[in-house]
Amino acid sequence: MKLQPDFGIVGYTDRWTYRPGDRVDLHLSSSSTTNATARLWRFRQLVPDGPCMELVADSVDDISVDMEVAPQQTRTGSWFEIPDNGRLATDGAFTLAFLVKPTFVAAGGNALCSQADRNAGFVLSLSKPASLCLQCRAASGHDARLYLDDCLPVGQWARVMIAFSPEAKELCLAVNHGDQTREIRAPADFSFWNADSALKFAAADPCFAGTFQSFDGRLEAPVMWSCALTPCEAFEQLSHFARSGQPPADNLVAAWDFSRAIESTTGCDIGPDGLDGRFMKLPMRAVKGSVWSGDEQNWRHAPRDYASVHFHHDHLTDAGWEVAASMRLPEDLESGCYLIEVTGSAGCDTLPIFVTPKVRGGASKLAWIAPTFTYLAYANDRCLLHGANPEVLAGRLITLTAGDCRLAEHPEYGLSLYDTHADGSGVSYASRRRPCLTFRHTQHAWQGGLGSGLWNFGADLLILSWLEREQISYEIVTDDDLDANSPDAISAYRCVITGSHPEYYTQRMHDSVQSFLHNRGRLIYLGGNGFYWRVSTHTDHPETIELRRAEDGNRSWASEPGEYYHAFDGAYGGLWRRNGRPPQALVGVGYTAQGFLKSHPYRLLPAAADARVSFLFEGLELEDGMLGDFGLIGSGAAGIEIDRADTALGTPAHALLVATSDHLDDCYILANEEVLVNRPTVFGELSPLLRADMVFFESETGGAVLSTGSIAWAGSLGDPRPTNPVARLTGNAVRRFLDPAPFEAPARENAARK
Amino acid sequence: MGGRDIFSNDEFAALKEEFFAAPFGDQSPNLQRLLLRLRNLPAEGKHVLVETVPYRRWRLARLGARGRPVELLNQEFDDRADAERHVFLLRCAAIGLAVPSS
Repeated sequence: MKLQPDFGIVGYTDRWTYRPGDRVDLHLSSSSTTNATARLWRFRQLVPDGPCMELVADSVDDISVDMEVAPQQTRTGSWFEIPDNGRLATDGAFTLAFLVKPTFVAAGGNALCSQADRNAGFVLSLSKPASLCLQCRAASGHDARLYLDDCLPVGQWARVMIAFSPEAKELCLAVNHGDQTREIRAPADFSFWNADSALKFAAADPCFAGTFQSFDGRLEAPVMWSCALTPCEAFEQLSHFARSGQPPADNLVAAWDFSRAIESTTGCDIGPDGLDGRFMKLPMRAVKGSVWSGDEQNWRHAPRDYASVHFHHDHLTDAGWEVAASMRLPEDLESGCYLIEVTGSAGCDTLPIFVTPKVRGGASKLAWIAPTFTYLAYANDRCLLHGANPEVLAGRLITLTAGDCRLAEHPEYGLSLYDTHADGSGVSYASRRRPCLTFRHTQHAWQGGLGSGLWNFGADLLILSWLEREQISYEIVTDDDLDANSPDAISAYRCVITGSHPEYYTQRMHDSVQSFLHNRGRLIYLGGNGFYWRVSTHTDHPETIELRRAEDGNRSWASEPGEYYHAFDGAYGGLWRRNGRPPQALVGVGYTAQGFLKSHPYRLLPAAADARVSFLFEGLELEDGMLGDFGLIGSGAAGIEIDRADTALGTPAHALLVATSDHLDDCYILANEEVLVNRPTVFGELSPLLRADMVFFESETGGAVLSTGSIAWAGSLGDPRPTNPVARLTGNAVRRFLDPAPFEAPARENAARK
Repeated sequence: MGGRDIFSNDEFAALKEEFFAAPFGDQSPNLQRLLLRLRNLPAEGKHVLVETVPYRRWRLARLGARGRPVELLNQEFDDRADAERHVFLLRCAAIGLAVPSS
C-alpha cells in the first residue's frame, strides 16, 4: 500500500487532533542517525485491489519538512520525586521509612528509593526472590552495601527503614513484616543530602539507573526525620501516620500523604515545610493501601484507605523523544484525516492526525466523530502477542502485521488498555505520547474478520472513503474535541455520524451527545459496541485516559475489588450500563455479542415498511428483504461486535426495529454482562439475545437516531461495488438527516403498539 | 489427555477431511471441539502467521515470551487456508492425533 510504514523510522505526535494553523511536533527515532523528509497527505480513500487495500491520498504540496532523525532512548516506569533545593538537607542524620508491597521482581532488581548527587548517594533496591540491598556510594567512589535476604515477599505489605547517624558513623537498614523485624547495621561515613539532587521513590537516581528497573508495586506514607531513629521508633510512628494521617511530631522533615489530591500528580507533604513531590509519568493512584478493610469502595469516602500508589516498570505515558521537526498546518487546511509521511534512508513511518475545522459547521452541517479514545484504548494492543489467547475468538490463525512484529521487538513502546503489566495487574492508563503502532492506515487485525481485517481506525477509514466517494461534505470532530469542548463540539451540526466502534466515552462526551439529541440533533451510529466503557481524562494530562474494568463487561482483565473508582476524577468506572446509562437509552441499541470470523446480512423486519422510515429505502431494491450479504469486513454488514435493541435497557418504545441479523455463526458469543449463570446456549443462534439490530427513532425535538448496531457495517459501506444497498441506505439517511425539516415522533399510544 | 482419548482414528480422519475442505467454513460440533482444543494453547511458542506481503504472503512463526521478538520459521504460504491446514496437522500431531498411513 502507498505510504506503507516499515518502521525503520518510528514516531508519534503529541496529539491526534489539530486545527488549521497548529504546529505539529514530530517525535521521531531511527535505528541510526538519518536525514528524513516529512510530507503531509490528505486521506481520501481505501479501496480494495484484489485481496489488498490501496490508499488514495492527495499530497498537500506546500508542506514538506527536512530534518535529521536520531535514535532515541525510551525510559519506561513511573516514580515519585521530591526536588531537594536544599530543604531536605539535614546536619547529616536522617531516617527514611515507608510502607511497601512489591508485586513483581525483575531479574536485575527494582529500585525502591534513591538519592544521589553526581556519583554520590544511595539506592535501596529489591532483588529476587525478596531481598533488600542498600547501596551507598561516596564521592570518593567508595561503596557500602547492606543486605537483608528474604524479607520482602511479593504481594504483602511491609515496612522499610533506612537510618544514618553521622555521630555513630553508622547506617541501618530494617524491615518489618508481620510480627518480625530484621535489621542490619554497618559502619559508614557518607554525606547524603545535596542541594542539586532529588529524592526518588520507585526509581533509581540516574547514577544508579543503569542497574535497576523502576519499581513494581505499591508504596505508601514515606516519612523522613532529621535524626537517626531505631527501627522500633520509626515503624511505630510510620504505622501511626498510615492509620491516622497524622504526621510524626518530633524531628520531622517531611511526611508525604498519598491519600491527598489523588486526582493530581502531586504527592502532598504534610510536614512543616510543605515539601510536595511530584508523581512522574502517572503511576496509578486511587488504589487500596495498607489499611483498606473492604468497608469502603470509594476513595473519596475513605481517602486513608487509598493512601497508596501503584508503580509499574513497564508503564509508559510519555516516551520523551526529542522533536525532530515541526510542521505548521496551513491556515486554510480543510477539516479531514491527514497522514504525515516521514521517509529517510533508515525507513519510513506514516502518522495519522485529524484536523478539525477552524469554525465548526462552517463548511458542512455534517460531522464525523473520530473515536480517538477507542484508538487510544487499543493502542499497542499486545493481547495477540502474550495475552488472553485471541485465536479461540478469531476462529483462525492469528496474523501479525509489520507493526505487530515491531511491537514484539519493542516492549518499551508500552501497553494497551487490553494488556496486563508484568505484575499481572491491568493497564488502566493509556497515553498517545509514545509510538502507537496500531494507529496506522495499514494496520489490520484479527478482530477485523476475514477479508480486509480492517478494525478501529482502518475500519473507520472505510466510512471516510464512502463519504469521499459520494462527495458528501463533512467535518471532523474527535473524541478529544468532544470531551474538551462539551457540548459545543457538535452543537453546530445538524447531523453527526459515529465511527465503527465508539466504545470509550467520558461523561462529558456522553453529555454532549445527549444534549445534541435533546436539541434537535440527528445521529447516525454506524457501529457496534459503542458508548460502552466509561473513561476519564486527566486535567494535567489530556493525552491520557483512565479505565477501570469494573464489575462487568467483556474484560481482558478485571480491576481489583475496591478499585472501581477512577483516580482522575473520582468517577465510578466500568460499563456505562452499570452507571445508569445503557447505550440503548442513548442510541436505541447496545452491545450484546461478538464474533470475529465472518459477518452476515440483515433481514428486514415488518417495521421497515413503516412510512416513518420510507426515506431509508428510496431507490433501494432488496431481494428477499436481505441487506448486506457482502463487505470488506467478514463479507457481511452485520457482524464482529454487535448491538441489540431492548426496551428494558432503554430503547425508546416508539423505536422502529427496521432489520436484524439473519443468521450468526457459532463464533458469535453472547456478552458476559448478559450471562448470569454460564450455560451452553451463549453462541450462534441458540440465544435470542444474540443478534444485530438496526433501529430508528425520532426525538421529541425533531431530531432522530439511526443505529446499525454492527462494526461490520463499515466494511459493507466502504465496498465500492457499483450497486451497494448498504451505501444507498446510509446515504438516504444522511440526506434526510441533513434536511432541516423536523422529524415527528409518533403519539405515545401508537408507539407502544409497534 | 491426548487427542486419541477423544477421537478415534476414523473420527479424526473425517474431521481432518472436513477441515481441509473448508478451513473457514461452518464446522460440525466435533470439529469445533477439536479446533478449540488445538487453538487453546498458551501464547509462548504458539504458531502464528507473519504477513510478509500484506494480504498476499505469510510466513509461519512462533510467539516468543513476553517482551521477546517473534521467531520466524522457514515455511511460507500464499494462501491462508494452506497455512491453516499446515498448522492443523502440526498441532494434531503434538497431541497424538495423526491419520494412520494406509
